[in-house]
Amino acid sequence: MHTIDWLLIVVIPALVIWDGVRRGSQAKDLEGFLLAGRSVSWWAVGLSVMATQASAITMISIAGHGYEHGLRWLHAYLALPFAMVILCATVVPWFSKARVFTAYEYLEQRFDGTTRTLASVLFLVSRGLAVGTSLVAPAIVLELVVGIPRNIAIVMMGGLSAAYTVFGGNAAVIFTDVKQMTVMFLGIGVSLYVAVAGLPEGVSFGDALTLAGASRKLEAIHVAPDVRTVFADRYNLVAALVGGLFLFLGYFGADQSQVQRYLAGKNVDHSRASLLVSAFLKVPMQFAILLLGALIYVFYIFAPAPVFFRVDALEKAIPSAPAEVRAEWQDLQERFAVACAAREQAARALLAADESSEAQAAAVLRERNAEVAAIKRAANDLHRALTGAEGGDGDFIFPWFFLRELPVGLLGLVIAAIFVAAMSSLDAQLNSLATSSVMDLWVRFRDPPPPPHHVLRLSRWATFFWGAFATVSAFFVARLGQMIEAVNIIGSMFYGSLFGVFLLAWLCPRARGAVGWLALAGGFLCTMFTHFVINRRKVVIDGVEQWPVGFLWYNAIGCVGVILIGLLLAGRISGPRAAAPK
Amino acid sequence: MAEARRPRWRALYAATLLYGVLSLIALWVFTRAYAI
Repeated sequence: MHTIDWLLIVVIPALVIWDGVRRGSQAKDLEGFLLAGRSVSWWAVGLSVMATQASAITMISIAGHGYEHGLRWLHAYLALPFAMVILCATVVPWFSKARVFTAYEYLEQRFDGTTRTLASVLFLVSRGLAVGTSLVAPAIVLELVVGIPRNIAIVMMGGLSAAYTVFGGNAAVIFTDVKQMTVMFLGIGVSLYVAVAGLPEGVSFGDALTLAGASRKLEAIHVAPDVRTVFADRYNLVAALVGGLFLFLGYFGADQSQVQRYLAGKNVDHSRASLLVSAFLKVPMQFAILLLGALIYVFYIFAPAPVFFRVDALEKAIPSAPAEVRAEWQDLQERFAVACAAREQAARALLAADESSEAQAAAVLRERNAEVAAIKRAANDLHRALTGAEGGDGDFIFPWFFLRELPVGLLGLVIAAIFVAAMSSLDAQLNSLATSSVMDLWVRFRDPPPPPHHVLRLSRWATFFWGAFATVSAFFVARLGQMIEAVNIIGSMFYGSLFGVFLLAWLCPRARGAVGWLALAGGFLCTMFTHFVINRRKVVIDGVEQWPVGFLWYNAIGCVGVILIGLLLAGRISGPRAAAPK
Repeated sequence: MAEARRPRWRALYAATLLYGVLSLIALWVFTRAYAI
């Protein structure tokens, strides 16, 4: 790698970290540390909300998803504008008026202390389970680029993020996020440009879209053909709009890592406007990243690609494998070269086809794609058998592309973008995990309340603890398919129930006291039952094994479960209304 | 003050919802346009 790339990789994250540490001067008191003094403008909070959601996984894993499955992941974001409007009209003014530090503090005012504690514990468990994944993706890149062992890379990234969050608190999180989002937008733009500019002569951007479309990579909207498929298929319009709506209501309305961003807004209008930034920018951003993946797929129709994008690990294991395995690998590579040549021929034939023969040429291209995919699956099986590693090569596609195709300077920019994206997601999680564990699980139980400077010091230590926890847990992150899906599955198991209890507070004034935590626990059990009992057996749809109830539905099930149980119990259980929070 | 601001927010919410619906329609058109 060129010196300029190295400089960018070091200088960009260093500037971001320096800025974060510098913000420590604004974090002298508790409100300054936890909520940036409630003084931040809507645009900065808005970019921070986006950066918190967009981790390094967003760039690496979603681009890989776009390569393998096209635009279908976009379904998951279509409900976002609708969810944001609901949140702006409901929880944002509630939290703002209640002057809370955490979303769960509001639940104590509305229900009781147990509801607050349970909601906080559910948040800490769900966020704690996912926090490690933010570090794994950039660690993979570091390992590929400079050969630094993955675990050492994880320690570096986790340590740096924790360091500036400990010093600068929420102000550091928000203002580093602004810079991180800017670098990320640049990285996405540059990668898109290179993918298009790298197409062979005679193949235009329009041609690339034709090839991607014929290969079923541009299906942004997919309508399920029957009711069973609506529930089982993870990617269909109804599941996306209903399940996705509840997912975003839960994530932005009840996940402290997001709530804490917009609580830092100057006033309720700034908090509201910050959420609308995501409502307008998120879908185009995801579209750009997925399209990048689809364009990389077209790029590799014409450029040589490996059988398997994790080929480095496979090639390390091959020399010591038995002779028949080595022969199988050799055979796979030869068959792959032949299949790729045939696919390129089919692609060129499609581009040369007139309207009458276009459909047939597209069908031939899809057949050639299927042949290539079958060989890739065999390589994946071989990789799993030899190395024991789970998961395919989806997360390795984008790194493979930019390491080989980006020119000097731009490569450094994209790698820096991935690092800072990881930090921008992790810092907000550390900040919110620390806030919830200190405010909801410690301060609440202290009588008399501890002095603010004690709470501030403990919050810094808690941030440090969660940084260490994230780092250690990243070592053990299980790869449930691609990481982006794993994160969303874990989130979906918790968010619906968490948001449901806020919705219950609004819908049913009679629901008070213990009804809150009983309904919350009941809704969560409904989700657990769906995941561990109903989804124990898979169904086959279009030749693919799927859960009978797709994970996006968990959000709706949890939320509706909480509300139904809450309505049933309201008025029957009369718990004492909690005292005002300390 | 809050009362005076209310119509502006209502308009912004309506614009956001419209944007959501138009995104859906645009993506549906995009999907159809490149389906061969």
